[in-house]
Amino acid sequence: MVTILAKKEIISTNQFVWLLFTIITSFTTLQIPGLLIFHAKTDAWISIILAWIFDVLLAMIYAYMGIRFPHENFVQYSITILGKFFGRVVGIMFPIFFLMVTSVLMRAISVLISNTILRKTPMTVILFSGYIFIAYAVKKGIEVIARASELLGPIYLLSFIILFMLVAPEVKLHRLRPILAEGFYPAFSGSIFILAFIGICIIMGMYIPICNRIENGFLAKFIAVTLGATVISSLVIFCICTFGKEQAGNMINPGLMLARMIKIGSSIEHVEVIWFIVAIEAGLMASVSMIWASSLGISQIIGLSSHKPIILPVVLLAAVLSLISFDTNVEIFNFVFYAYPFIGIFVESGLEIFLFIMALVLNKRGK
Amino acid sequence: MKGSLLMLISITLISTIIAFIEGLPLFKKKMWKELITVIILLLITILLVAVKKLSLPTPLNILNDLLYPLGKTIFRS
Repeated sequence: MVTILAKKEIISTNQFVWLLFTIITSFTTLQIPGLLIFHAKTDAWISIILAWIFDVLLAMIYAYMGIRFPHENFVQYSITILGKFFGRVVGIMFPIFFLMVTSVLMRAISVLISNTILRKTPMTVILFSGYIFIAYAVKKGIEVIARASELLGPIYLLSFIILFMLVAPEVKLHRLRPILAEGFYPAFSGSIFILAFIGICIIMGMYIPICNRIENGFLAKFIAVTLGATVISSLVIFCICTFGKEQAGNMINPGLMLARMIKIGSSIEHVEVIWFIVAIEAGLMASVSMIWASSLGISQIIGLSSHKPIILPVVLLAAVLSLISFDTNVEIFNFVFYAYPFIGIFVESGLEIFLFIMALVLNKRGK
Repeated sequence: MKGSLLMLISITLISTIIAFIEGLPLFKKKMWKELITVIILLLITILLVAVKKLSLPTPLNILNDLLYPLGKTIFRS
């Protein structure tokens, strides 16, 4: 079943790359490096390299499915492969997953803002301001989101490069040793953990059918995930080498702490706010993309003519989930660290590999 | 408890506003499927807040309770 979009929206390969880069990097660099260092210690960078390899392998499946089912996203081809009932049951898990990730990401961003720069503002106000921005952006459509990401993505990448350059004098490389001191297990389980976050780029399955060149899906994903993994591993290495594994592992946002170390001359301080604003903006853009994917996916599952009328209800649902799901910051970190990786791996890898195998077994192809 | 009641009232109010903003054009165009989807999504939202008000576990709490022990075993730090 192919549900035709109300208005055919097209994005370029360049926009595809920056959309994916923004999502991968913002979702992974806020609080995750601290949790990864806490778990894998000095081997955290090895975990990221392993996760990158797994993710590229996964990208091949997504890109192949994108070509096998041209002009269909994973929600649509799950219906094509498994039929109307089972296809919908499997297909609905993708939009629900994006909704859940948005609610967790937005809550994490709000907690971060209220803990660092807006200490007196209630978290609810920050959260709802973010969701108003998201609703506005999603209403504008994916072409506008893509153009905004095309502008923001390079600035975000540049902000990391400048951050690393300015912090470089503080780096002590010997802090990365010993390598694999506790065996291979922490690095491997750390890679599964980080893969659940980098794997959010399965959203590429929603971008491939609207990309002007569907055959470029793998290339776009490869560039984006390589850039993202490089930034994340560099951030982890810089944090360990600057603060040491114990201190970096206990930080809520090691990236922000790294930016706090920057002092230009003797008078310019607190430049971390600039980096933080870019990082928050990227986090919001990632949420925008996921709400777009979620509302489009839900509308295609139900068979609506357009996803636009359900954007506001979906945004409100995500906002409520952000608000009610966690009472304390400890609860959100427990969820992100201990429960989310399984959900992420199940949806990002398990469901897609299942659809891939079923497409081959049932010999289904797109039109 | 007072806070969650206030949340329930405000979310119901926001849902009603959204129902009018999105629902009226759909009603005029007789797009019933879209209208029903909007209403169901808003009702789910209100229901979730009501669940919280009654101190029942939310969907993410249930997922957390199910997967937390497994996570503790695998990510044993």
